[in-house]
Amino acid sequence: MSKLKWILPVFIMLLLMPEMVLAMTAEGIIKIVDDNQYLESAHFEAEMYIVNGKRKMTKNMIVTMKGSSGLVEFTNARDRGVKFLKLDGDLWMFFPDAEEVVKISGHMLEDGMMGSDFSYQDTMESEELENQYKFTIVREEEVDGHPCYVLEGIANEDVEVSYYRLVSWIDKERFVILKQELYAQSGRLLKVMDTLKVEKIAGRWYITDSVMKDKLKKKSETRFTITSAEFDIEIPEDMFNLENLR
Amino acid sequence: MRNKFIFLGLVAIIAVFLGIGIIAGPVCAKVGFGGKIETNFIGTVNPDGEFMTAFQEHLNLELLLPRMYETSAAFELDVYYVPQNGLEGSHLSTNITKLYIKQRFEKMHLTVGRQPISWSFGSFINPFNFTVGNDLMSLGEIEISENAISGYFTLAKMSNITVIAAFPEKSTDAKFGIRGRTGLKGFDLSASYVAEPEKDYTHWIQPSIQRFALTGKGDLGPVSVYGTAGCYFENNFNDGEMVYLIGVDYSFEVFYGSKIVAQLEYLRDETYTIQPETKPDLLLGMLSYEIDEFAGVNLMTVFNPHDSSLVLVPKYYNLIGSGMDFSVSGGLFVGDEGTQFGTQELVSGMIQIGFGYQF
Repeated sequence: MSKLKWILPVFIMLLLMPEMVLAMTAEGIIKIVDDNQYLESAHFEAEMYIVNGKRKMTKNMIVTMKGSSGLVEFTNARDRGVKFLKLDGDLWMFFPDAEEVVKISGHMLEDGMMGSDFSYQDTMESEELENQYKFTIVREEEVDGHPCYVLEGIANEDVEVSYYRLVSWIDKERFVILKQELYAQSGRLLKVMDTLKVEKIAGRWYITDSVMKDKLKKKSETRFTITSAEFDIEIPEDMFNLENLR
Repeated sequence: MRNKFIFLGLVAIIAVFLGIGIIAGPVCAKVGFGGKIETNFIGTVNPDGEFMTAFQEHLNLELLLPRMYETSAAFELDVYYVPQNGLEGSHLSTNITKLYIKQRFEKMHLTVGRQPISWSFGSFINPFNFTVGNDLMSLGEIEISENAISGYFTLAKMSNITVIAAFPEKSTDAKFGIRGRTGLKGFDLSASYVAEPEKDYTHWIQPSIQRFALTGKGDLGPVSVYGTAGCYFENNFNDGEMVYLIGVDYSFEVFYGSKIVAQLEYLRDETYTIQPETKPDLLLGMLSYEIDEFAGVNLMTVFNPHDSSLVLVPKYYNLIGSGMDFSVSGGLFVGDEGTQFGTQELVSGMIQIGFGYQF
């Protein structure tokens, strides 16, 4: 009888569990996604595979980031030594031939970084989603067999972002974005991101392989693969200054 | 001559350091080579309408050396096969663009040896760069490497000072420069000063000259603006001549996903260092269009409003595959005889078709 006392509440809780999960708010879901996706600091090596029809190009890079600052160095033959520094919302570029550092014009930030489908702005936006967008749950769907919440995010008025509206498919189990559609304010679909691989790194689920398709370009896509990564590591503050571009 | 000995001394020191680095086992394993091989077909039309052709080969070779703690080194050279009319005059030309050692101290970098020095801020022409060429048509192709000792001092994350002592081959005296740079509310601001010594070229002597300038670049809404203003003077700043440059760049969408980037620049050179005498003004413009991730076209023009002459430089480029690229560019000089860009003495038009491979 005493055992039954425990079994009954546990049974009732198990029955209620799906309802409790369904009761999660959009803010709660995005908070967990941000906890996975937002990095205080990281150092990783990555590969960008750019495809346009039958034409292909690979770029390799080393990325170091801390908070809103980031340093990217390209290592493939064509771009060897080219570096980008994101600092206080500005982007600076180092050209290795002349060893000169030039500030990138603001209007260029929407352009594809080094010919990819990721814009400079995409790579610069390291803010948590919950600070940039107001989310609502619109439905639930499966992506590649994974049950997902589908959330719509509308940009907050006081925040500058590249995309006015996001539609995100968030894995119910791992709380990572498995698919995302990025829209302009006009309603035009600009880009679609599909997640190809999710890995657990330093105790968090993180997207390590994804593909971005620019819907305004025909037959164009960029696959971004993280080949090695270290998260939440000690990075000196003075790593991010113009001096370290040189 | 003295400068030549100083430079040779620097080269010897660097060679010893490089030698030690390469011989050291763990470092040796990481040493590699990189660079680019290019071959260009060049066709020129002279004022008599004759079409002449030549091939030019270029090898850029870089020694990829790993950084050892706070010390790094660089070695890079360009080798050109320079064709002449008839094979007799054709020859190989080499140019060392980098041969230096860099030591990073806390808040300071010290670089010793042959090094590129560029104070660019995104303009077509920088009339106050550390090295200023008087050949306008080179448009950024000016040799910017100097035999120098340079110190780079960090004041804050976006503020620094560069101090340079260079040893030009055509002078017995040193050349000095200092530049302060800071980022302020999204603007890139700098002040620079260069003291250029007298230089002895074969047929003429270039007098010593000093120049001081203020430069800025930033965004005003969707438009990026930049400019520089400064003075060239011999001994007294108040007796100097002014040079002004202002430019804008802007991009606009032409149809779904395709953008044109436009850049327009105005230069007024009262020193006649860059511009010919009595024609101080110049307009430069460029339109760029990226066809896709692999190919693009651009059209550059340089226009002299005093004599209405201009030069048009169209270019198409295509990244063929991994490391391979292809480009076609032209040069068309338009204007009457005696104008700045009118039919040149030897060339009135040219076309260049090139293939390159980066490794």
